Amino acid sequence: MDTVAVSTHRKPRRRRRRFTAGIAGRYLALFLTIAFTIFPLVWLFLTSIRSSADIFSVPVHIIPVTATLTQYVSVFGEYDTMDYVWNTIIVSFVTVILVHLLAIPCAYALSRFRMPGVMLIFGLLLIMRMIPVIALAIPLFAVFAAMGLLDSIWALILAHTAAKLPVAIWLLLGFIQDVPREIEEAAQSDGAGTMRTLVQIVTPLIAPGIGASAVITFLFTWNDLLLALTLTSSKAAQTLPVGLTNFVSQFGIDWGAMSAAGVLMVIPTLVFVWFAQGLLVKGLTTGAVRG
Amino acid sequence: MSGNLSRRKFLAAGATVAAGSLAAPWIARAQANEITALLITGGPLYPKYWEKIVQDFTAKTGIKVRYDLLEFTPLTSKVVTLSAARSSQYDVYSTHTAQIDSYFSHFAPLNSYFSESELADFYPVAVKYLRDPKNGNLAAIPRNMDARVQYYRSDIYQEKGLKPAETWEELVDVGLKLTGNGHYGLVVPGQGDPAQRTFSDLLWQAGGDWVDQANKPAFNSEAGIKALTFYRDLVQKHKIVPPDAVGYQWNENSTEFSSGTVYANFDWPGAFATLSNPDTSRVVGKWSTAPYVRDKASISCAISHAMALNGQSGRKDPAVEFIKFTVGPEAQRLQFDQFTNFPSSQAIAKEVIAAAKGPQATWLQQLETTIANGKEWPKLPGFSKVCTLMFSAIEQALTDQVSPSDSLNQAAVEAEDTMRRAGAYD
Amino acid sequence: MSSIPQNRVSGRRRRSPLPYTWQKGYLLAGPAFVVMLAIFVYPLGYSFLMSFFRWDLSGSAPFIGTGNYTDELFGRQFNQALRNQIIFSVVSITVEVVAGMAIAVLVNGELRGMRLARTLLLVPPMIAPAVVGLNFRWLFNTQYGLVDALLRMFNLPNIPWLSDPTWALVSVIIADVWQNTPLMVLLFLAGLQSLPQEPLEAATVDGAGPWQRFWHIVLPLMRPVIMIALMLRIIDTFRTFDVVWLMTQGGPGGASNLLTVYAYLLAFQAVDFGHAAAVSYIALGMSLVVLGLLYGVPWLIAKRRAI
Repeated sequence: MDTVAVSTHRKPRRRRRRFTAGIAGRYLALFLTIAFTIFPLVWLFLTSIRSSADIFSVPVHIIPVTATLTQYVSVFGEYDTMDYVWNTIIVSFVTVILVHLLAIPCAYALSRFRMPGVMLIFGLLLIMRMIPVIALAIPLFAVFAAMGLLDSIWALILAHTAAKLPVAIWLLLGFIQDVPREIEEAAQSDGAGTMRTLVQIVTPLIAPGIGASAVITFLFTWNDLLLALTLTSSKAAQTLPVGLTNFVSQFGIDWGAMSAAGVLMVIPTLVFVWFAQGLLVKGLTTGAVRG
Repeated sequence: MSGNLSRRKFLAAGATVAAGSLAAPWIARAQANEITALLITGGPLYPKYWEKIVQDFTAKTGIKVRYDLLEFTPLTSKVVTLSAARSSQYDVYSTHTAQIDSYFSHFAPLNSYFSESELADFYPVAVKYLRDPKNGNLAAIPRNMDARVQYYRSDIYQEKGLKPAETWEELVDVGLKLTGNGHYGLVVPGQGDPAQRTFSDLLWQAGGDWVDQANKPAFNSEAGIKALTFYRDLVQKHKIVPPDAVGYQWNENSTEFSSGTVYANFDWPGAFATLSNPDTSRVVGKWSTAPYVRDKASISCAISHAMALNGQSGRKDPAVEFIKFTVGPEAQRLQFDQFTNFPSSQAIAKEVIAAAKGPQATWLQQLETTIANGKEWPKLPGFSKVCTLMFSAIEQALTDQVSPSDSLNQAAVEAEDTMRRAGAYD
Repeated sequence: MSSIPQNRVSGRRRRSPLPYTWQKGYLLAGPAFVVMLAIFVYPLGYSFLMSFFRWDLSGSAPFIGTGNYTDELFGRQFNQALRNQIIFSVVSITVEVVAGMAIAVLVNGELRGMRLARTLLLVPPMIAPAVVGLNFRWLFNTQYGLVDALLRMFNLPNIPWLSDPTWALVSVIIADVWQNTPLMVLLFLAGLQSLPQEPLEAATVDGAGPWQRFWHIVLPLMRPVIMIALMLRIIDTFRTFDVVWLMTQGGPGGASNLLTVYAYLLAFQAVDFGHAAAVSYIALGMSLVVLGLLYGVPWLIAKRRAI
């Protein structure tokens, strides 16, 4: 629920300036940016509340003739979308938890310990991050086949955990670096071991960082299409983005239902944007601004 | 959820990957009297169909079937992945003539499971293209036939005093009279496999073919150039096809007609059911069918959806029983009733044609004619890759990036090269 | 979203009374490394190895050296995809960075509606590329889409967004710009707000105009942020797949084919994994080279100057 604005050192309020051409220009820029940003989303929403007949009307009615929820009804009725929603929620939440169980100690170790050979591992991680997923699709599939984990949400959770770890570690590193070592040293001279120092001292201090990387991890997992497409083939494990592609069938593209499902896909983003804006901004910008 | 996944287990899992990816055998999930199948779906009716088939099969044989359903396109890529990983996750696959040449060494031959007389009942065109030309192995068995006829808006045609086109020239004439006010006379798909199918039909109709006697590319013949020029002109010159159609595959092609925007198209058997259903069609009762158009010949493709046995399967006998059931009379009748899929068995086809009445009877006869004259493109080594070349060549000509002759000539050179490398001429 | 924090690992190290031994470090970091490496290293190694073999479903996989690479490097479709990829990356990154910076500078400060704007700007980068791709395909439909409907309303000619070869590439760039410019704005806004105030105030006192202040003071100070932004976008444009695949499938006629889309077509339509892997590794190599230049050239220049 952290809604603190990005600016940490906000300047003291200047005295009110007169409304000048400069200000007008800036408002125009602001307005155009907002308009450009929202109009595709508005169209997505408008498409989702149209009747199927209205969607294919020529000429186009920009405002729907009648607003209807039939697309949403068919998304949940005809297409069993609830299965996808649950899978996506479980995969995203468990991934967030696993990623952070692994990333927090890892980031801590990286920021505090001298570790030979670590650059090699970093190099590999960087390449992993840069290679197109398509190159890995088939061998990745073989790995999960060998583990007997195909087509289960565990396969997805493991793959996402591995894929999202570098981002989380990178983000958390920045926050751990800001924790003064004196605090840890004090704790350790009081007899706390490394684990206790990490769990009881460091982790609470970097809570905002954990929140930021959790939100980012959650949304990127929620949005993923390619890993889910590669590793799943049944309703037992398919996620919402895969479900979205199922509206593209041999006999037509169900644009209305697909837009409704698209709106559903966007909901978590909107929720986080509204309630955890500060965390999201932090997550997206921390690495870049202080890197 | 994460509580039961301790770090130790995690490390163990990591070790399993390292070792397992090299040697560990696939742990079979299914029991002895259970088989697994990856089956095709399309639209809301299909899941119910498979549920019924599987229930009936289990009731009859005691063999349980665990199955997953995928739409055509994801299904194709999934089978590619599964085969590449030599997976035995599924014993049975839904497949199709389109890419069958890629699977000749992955699907177990079905020859020994079907007697000659059983095979003789299936449409020969389908069986022919599901065989490996090198050794005659039957890679899959057809489940239903796919061919196209012309669908047109009988209400609009009557109002304007038009008859459905029979020849290429008429197609343009009628189209021009119908196009205007945001409506178009015709729609043809223009992207990927659907574009290649459309070109292929026109190529055969113009008297050409894909390869010559020596299996060398021949689609850049005069007939080929004529076909592609005609195809392009429908969109670019006569403008009787919506401009976006160059990016359409079958689904959007069908939607243009079922939404009432376009007045004619060439579509698959499933369209008959889709167009008759008020949930999926805005033109219920306003359309009729006619034969595909012709030029020198009246040939178009006759392809089939088919069932295949995974070569890696450890339960081949029960799996084949299931395959046989899915292509058996009961299943074929049911899929015709449910989604007007045309049977692959000639006997069942005769039966449903005899039982049909009115417009459906006319349509079935038109379809049967198309299938009887139908062809499929060659199943030569490397042809799947040639298809990818063709998609691009056809799309480039359709969007006026390259002239039809340049585009085909270049594709022919590249196609020969690709097939040579794949061993088509060894 | 991020890169590897190399500078952080080596930097700021000092003697400490705490037992920060490397064994303990690896014990803490180990599990994360094991998971990442276990899951991705095998696929990475395998696909790289197989890019030197004929790798398809034919059952035999002979070693063909760099055959897959040379086939592609001299092939027509690859070169078309490469050309598109370069245009796509250069144009979208330029637009995103320039527009992102312009918007950030213009809206930085206390404007009414700023909070709302910042909230809205967070949405595009965080929604699924699959939704973006499908939604833009629908927006750009010439018959039923919003954009051409608006053009018709103002009696402007329709634009064949997805059916014209040139416009198709423009369309996928627009979708990418839509999704990623807001991210740039947020990055640059955060950067601007953490700038030291003294140099700017000193410049104002010296009578520098807004443009001079931006060009001579803000921009140089923002360099690290711009570099990170460029790096993120370079890595991501070379991996863009979902949006383009769902909008155009690389069409018409390959006019909006990018390297990853082409690799996907090779793997799943041509069923030719060897070539697909080769294309993927060429894409990887290219982004490595570009990143190397991005970071290496300024470093070299700095080094020369130092001598």
